[in-house]
Amino acid sequence: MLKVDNLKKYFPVERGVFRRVIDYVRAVDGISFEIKKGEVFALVGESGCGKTTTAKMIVGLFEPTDGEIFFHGKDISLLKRKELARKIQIIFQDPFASLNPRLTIGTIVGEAVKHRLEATDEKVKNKKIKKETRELLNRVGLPVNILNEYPHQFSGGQRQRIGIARALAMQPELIVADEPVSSLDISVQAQILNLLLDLRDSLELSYLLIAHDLNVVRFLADRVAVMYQGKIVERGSVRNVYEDPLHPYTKKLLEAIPTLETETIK
Amino acid sequence: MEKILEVKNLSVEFYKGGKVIQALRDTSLTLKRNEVLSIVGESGCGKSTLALSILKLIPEKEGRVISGEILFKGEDLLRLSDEKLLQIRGDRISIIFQDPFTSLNPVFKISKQIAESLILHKKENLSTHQMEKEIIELLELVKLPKPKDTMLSYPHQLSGGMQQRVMIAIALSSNPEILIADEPTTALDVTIQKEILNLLTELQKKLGLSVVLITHDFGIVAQTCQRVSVMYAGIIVEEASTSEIFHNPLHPYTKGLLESLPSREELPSSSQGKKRRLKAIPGQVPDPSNLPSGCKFNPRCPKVIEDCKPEEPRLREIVKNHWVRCIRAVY
Repeated sequence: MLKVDNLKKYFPVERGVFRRVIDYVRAVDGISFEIKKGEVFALVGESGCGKTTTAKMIVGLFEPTDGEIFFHGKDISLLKRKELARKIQIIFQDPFASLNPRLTIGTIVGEAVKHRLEATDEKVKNKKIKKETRELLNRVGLPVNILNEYPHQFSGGQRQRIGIARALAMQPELIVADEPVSSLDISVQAQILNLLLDLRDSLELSYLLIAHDLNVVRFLADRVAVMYQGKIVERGSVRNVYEDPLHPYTKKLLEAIPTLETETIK
Repeated sequence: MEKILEVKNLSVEFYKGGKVIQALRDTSLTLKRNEVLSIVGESGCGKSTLALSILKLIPEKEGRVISGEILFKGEDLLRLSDEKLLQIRGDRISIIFQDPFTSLNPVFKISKQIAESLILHKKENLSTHQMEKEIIELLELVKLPKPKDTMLSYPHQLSGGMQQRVMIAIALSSNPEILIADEPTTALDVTIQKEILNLLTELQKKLGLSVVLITHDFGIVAQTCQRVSVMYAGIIVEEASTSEIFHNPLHPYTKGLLESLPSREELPSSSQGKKRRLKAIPGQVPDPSNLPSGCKFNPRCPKVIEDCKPEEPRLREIVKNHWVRCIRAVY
């Protein structure tokens, strides 16, 4: 469904008054992978490895320096913004920063519904938008009577659900989830992880999961690619990569996860 | 073993947006010499407030201690004069925070920041050469490679892990007896986290430190701590040895948290098959300015009964050295 081919993103490093380019930061340095329909594919790595930059290119927020991204065989750089938005959506890490504090929940989610509907009759449009907005809120486990409230009135977990509702409004096939639970309390993380799986099953969604928490990836993902300094160093099913890591960096990453075995304490 | 720090019935109030928030309510805990105690909890549970209160670091306008005692080797820190408290804060009891980048001064070199700490804690009469030697020793203690280069760097030139090592060096420069570490690795990558935790464990043993480690990550607790206090809504709800907490959690909140961790799940047998769901705790952490009556966890608790609602339970020792604040907990 999604195919990434030799993708690169280089950021120029400029120096001096005339802003001469002296070097490049090779944030993403030639990566390739595929995501099948209905799959949860994870990109893991530590800070600076290029996973978030990759996510942004797939959603169209960054333009690749080189390489191609294909969706159902078609090069996404040829698609208009709106067309792309109907196929691929994104959920961000920070539920506090990703919702416009001046807009009501009804507007935040409703605007997305409005874009998708493109209805012409104003009256019919507004009624339909409200109905769908409520349905979306219900689907993500939120009460439906919150259309006139503002983001600051909700907790982190609730805001994350609102962000998910907004992403679903465009009825995408692929959702890029950039660290969807790392800003949340652990008791809420489980709720959101469950929700993401429920939505995957009921809406036949696929996910590109960007995460640094290897336990979350282990739980949510089917396949995983490990990134290091802009390149993919290992890729495979979660089971294979976690149980039998081949690349030394993958091994190092897995060994670093603090486990719950307490026999190690003296 | 000797009790080096005893917090007794500490209650702390915060003022925010015209509301009074009970950040800490009648909290008590004990730290023994050479022990690593962990305080675990989610946002709003009061763990950071507890850390800041021990060293009287809460600004007067933001909040105050309403009642309780904080005994350091038998002496109540809350009743000390500011002058005497200065001799303890940063000297006998040191603290490191989550984000080293905001703790370090961006306009001064590392050498100057460490020197500042050394001078404050009585090493004011050293020659430049001697000072340099002390700084290098400290940087070597925290295993920073190329200490001479690091000394002359500015904080932004160092990685997060290196900055945190510098913070630890500054915290240890006075040879303190107690180190409080408030989420010291949360902002760091997992491989760096492992290194920093190993470093802290090593230093603890080498220097005979007593440590209070505040975290939300049970994995860190398992690897580094001997005792755990679980906090919820401003109060301790369970306290036991690390081994007991993991093998025999008794408070429904602790059980719920442990059961909801994704690491507890088995890997799915098929690669794209139906995955099991996590056992999540419903609802969310209560608003500290609007706590329910009785046991604060009761709205979310699977074991709740009517008796849970009128009055908050006391901590009871259900098993030896295992305390639980729940009327339904049994061994």
